[in-house]
Amino acid sequence: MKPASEQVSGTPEPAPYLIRFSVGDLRRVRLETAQWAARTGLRPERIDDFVIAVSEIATNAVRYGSPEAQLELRSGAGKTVLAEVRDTGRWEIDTGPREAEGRGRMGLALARRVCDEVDIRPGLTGTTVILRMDLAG
Amino acid sequence: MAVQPEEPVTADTCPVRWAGRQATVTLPAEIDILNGQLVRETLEQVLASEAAVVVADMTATTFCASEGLHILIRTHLQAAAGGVALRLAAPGPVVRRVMELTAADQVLDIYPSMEDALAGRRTGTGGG
Repeated sequence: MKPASEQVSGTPEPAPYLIRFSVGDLRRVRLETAQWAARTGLRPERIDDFVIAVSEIATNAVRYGSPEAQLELRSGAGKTVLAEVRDTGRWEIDTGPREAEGRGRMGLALARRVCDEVDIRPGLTGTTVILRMDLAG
Repeated sequence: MAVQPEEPVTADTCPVRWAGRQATVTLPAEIDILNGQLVRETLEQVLASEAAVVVADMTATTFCASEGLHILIRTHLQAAAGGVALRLAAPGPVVRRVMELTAADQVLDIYPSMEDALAGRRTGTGGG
């Protein structure tokens, strides 16, 4: 094990990124997700896909979950990038009159299409969605 | 007022220009749930104003969330039902990517440039 200071220069893992956001912050979330992802070693087209996925899941969180949600970006052992979106609502269970809009289904389908794993954890105190993208992918 | 340091997120507009019954609607840089309603209402108003052709100028559109795709698909179908063409001009690469991923590009009429969209000239179909 090497301390962080001895990592090969040019490939340091970016520090985790954490933001609490509401609807009005979604564009900043996209911009900062792109900036963070650019430092992970993801290929450029995968960075675009990562931003698309994070944007969709973050949108669902504040649209169907709770007015404010949290996003954490972190890299996993230099092999993966992870985006964890946590809200305090129950958007998967609480089906309402917005069925025609698909209740975020297209966004979720998009995330599943581009990510290596989409892990949805509904809970009593909120819904957490974890997106994983492998650097080798 | 001094020059804004950053582009304010509330500065979304959808200007419409008319040339006869052809309307050109300039879409915002990012289409998402913040401005989806504006985009939808603008396109619906143009359709209601008896446009024969609607060109959506996406030259400056770098991002389109699924919300935006819903609106474009719905408007496209609405327009087609009334015999109106909705042509999407020059969406950016990430927008094209989202359209491919969702197969929206199978439904929507996408043109590589404003010139092609205005002329209704499909180029590069099937080209590799």
